[in-house]
Amino acid sequence: MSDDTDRRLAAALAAEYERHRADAAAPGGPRARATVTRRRRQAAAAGIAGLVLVVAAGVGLARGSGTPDRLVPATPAVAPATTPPVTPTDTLSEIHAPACGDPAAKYRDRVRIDDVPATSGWTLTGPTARLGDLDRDGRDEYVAFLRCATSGETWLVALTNWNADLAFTGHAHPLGTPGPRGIGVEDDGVVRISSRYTDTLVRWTGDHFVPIG
Amino acid sequence: MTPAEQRFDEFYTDRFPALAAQIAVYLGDRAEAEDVAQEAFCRAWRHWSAISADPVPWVHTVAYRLATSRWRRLKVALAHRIRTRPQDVPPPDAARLDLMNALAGLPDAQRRAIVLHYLADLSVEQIAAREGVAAGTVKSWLHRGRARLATVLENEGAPK
Repeated sequence: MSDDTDRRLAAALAAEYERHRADAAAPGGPRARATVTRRRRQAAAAGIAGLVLVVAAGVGLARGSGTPDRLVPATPAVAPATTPPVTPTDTLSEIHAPACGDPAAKYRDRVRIDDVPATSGWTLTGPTARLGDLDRDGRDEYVAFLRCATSGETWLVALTNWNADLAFTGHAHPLGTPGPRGIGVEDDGVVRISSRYTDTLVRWTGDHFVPIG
Repeated sequence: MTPAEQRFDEFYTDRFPALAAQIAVYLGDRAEAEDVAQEAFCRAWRHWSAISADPVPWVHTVAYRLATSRWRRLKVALAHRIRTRPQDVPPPDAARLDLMNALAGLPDAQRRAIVLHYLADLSVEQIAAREGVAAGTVKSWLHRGRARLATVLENEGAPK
């Protein structure tokens, strides 16, 4: 490899680097610090919840061991009241792209959206800075793009981390082909979807996204 | 704002664009690179009291580890996305795309060595220490990576 080719390679890589550096969108140091604070609170809350469960289970065992086992006949008086089952919306079932089939998204732990398997053709983007209280109920939701990489078809989806793990919730919002490039959550919970030239604002109702503005 | 918060924010502002750009060249995808860089800075803040004396090597190492992990999981999908989604203005020229495609086609270790050497200005010995391999291995990675990229550059310079 000649020195000239080496210089050209260095120049080409430097040009690519400068192009990315000039356009880099930094969420900001305060946002990074806030993310860490939020994760610490969530971890602490999970720890406390776990402790409460352990204590409750211990109390239950202690009580159970002190009473004789006996069968109680099932009568209408002691049978549990029937409550209508809550059927969560199967968000992923609403999504299908001919090029990628049905999505098979996964997530890794309570505080981080993981990507779908690379071989599936689906990607789930927006893990670190897209957490916010979208419906102002005091609980944070994640918002992310679910995209068929092959065709570019993109949906906006919401995930909750209210229970033990992240879960898709509500209805997916189709964003067309090709999908937008950026996503953000404003202080008031409004989701900003950035395309090449325009931004679109949507609000999460707790069940679906509604365009605003 | 505490002095530590202020110093972290200054460090973030000073270093985020360069780190995100390096990772973008490595991954070939700027949105993914920005996510990786942001996650690395989040982790840096979590360990700030321990690393604040010299945070640059720490955050760079974490960012490259995250990027490597992400690359392994996403390389198929990323290749599709790079081909299918709209590019930024100005439109990329064919030579640049050829070079970036060639870079994306390099084995992971070779590509990382190229980026660390040319963009992070790390010496062969520094890359070897970071990767936990012998210096000769890094030289081999760089040699092979350069040779494959040189083919693209020489074709570009050849008379049509």
